[in-house]
Amino acid sequence: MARLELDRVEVTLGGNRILHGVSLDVADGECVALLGPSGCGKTTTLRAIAGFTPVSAGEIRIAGRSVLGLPPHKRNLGLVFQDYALFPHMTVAQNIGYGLRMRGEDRASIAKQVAEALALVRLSDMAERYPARLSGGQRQRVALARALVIKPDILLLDEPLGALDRKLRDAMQVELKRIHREVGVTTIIVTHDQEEALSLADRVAVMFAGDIREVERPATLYARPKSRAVMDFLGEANLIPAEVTADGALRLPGGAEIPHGGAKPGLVRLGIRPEHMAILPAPGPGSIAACVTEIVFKGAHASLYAEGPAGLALSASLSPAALEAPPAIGETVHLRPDPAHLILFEEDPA
Amino acid sequence: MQGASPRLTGFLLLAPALVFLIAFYLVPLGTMVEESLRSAPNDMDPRAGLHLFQYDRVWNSGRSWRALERTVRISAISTLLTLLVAYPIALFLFQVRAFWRTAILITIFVSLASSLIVRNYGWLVTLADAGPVNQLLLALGIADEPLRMVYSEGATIVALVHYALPFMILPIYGALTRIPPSFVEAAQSLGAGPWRALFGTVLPLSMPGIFGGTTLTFAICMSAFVTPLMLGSPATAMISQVAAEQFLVQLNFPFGSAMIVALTLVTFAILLAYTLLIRAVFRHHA
Repeated sequence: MARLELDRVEVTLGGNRILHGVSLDVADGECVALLGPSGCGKTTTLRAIAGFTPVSAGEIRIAGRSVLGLPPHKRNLGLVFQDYALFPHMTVAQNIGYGLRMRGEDRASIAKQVAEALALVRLSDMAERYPARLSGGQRQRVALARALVIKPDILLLDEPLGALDRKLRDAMQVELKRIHREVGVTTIIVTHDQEEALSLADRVAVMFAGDIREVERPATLYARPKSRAVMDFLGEANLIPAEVTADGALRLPGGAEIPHGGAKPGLVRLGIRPEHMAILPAPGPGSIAACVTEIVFKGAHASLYAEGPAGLALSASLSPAALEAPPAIGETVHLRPDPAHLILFEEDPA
Repeated sequence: MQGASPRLTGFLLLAPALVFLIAFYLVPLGTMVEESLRSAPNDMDPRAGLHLFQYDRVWNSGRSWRALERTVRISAISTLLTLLVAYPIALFLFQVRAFWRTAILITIFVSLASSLIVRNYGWLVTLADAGPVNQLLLALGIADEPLRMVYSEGATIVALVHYALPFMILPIYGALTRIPPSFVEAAQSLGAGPWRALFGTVLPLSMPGIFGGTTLTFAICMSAFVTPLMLGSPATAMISQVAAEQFLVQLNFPFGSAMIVALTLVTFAILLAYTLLIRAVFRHHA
């Protein structure tokens, strides 16, 4: 358990700059998710922390001490790989005990700690099985136990739930949260799955193109992202071009205006989540007329997709009640963004 | 192939290989087995019919038995040495940059393509009394007078190792490329230094390649003929040579055939036992 600091970390591989000065401060016991599209550098960041990728500039400190001079096996980190990397020639117990054997601990102490780790991940009756005879979820737990049993300073999880099917993923999410709460180890999760990031982490760091764009608590990040790119990346978002008029109102496409104070006159982008778009049968103040293009049922709710003025793509959530008598495809509806949930972004520095 | 069942298609695809194997492998082998069950050349012996007389001779004649024993010993030692030489090369091949990998692979294929006789002759020259190895030993003061290295079991083994190397390197290299890099990294993250990660994970996980390479090498060595003929002496003859002598010099086809059939059976038995052993030890893989 320890604090992890990344200070302007740069990684250059084969002449390409992969990380452009990544800075991140993870408190002792905190769980931070690195979230971003593939190729954004999140895995490279993880590998730099683990010591598998050389850092060309910047500093990585664990518990206040630089680890850049240390090879991977001396960093005392617990890693869970996407493919779990369980040694197929060892039993579950041998896999979990591997790190302790490398540390030269005696047999009795290893057996005791392995038993504790197995109990933690609730696999006590699987100790003598070989990985080939475990299910995906069980392998994941063994990998987790193997990484935790060495009491690492930092636990690094690479796409921890990526290889599991939906149902198992939900169960493992709960399980991971429980284990993190029980163990309390500083944790970094790398994922491209926003649900995974938002549900597991205390804070989420959104990465784009080798840089951390924003680090925030999940709820804040979702409700009040600071940049248009993060808004767009997380969940579904309407990004509506608008103009702030001289008298301080927002002029929407189609001409409707919403009173709004504080913004400089000029072109802006309005960010609004679909669940904050009201669907009106008739024009109302601040509504945008749009033609329904598709309605997609998604279980808890349904999404309505529509085309506004000048081909603007809009979306809104339909409540289960509204879904009883949904608008027809091709029908004109009036979508009104809830002013309380509007976020203004400057036009275009994406 | 519309309308043809997958089974028929499969059979038709196999047919050329089957015809070839039956005509040029099973038929001669059958002839040889039959020949080995006769008691004397051309069945001039009054004791006509088929019996195990020749096998009794293989078993009890000192020369053929010793040759068979020597063949197994030379093959086992050569296989082990080939493994020891090939494994680091395969590892190197696996870790090196693409350019060097290609260069080494081409070298291996070229050496496979060059004539065995030429390569054996190369060893004759290299290991000769006045050859470069002896000159080096003399120059370094390790030996006071040239060592007699050629025409010995040792020289045979050296040349066999050289011959078998590609058959060992390629399967091991293939097995190494199938090990996900995360295994080594997992071992390292758990506190294993590079060497321990290598021996604890890479080595056991490359077992399929080691198994394939050693099996191939052992089979190749067991049936070696030209190499022991050129680099060994009559006193270090392997079973193929002794059998060839029966075929070509003594014209005793039944006795020669019995030796070859015995060689085949012994090779098969050893490889079967080896396979079962490996299976038992690594039954949990995959």
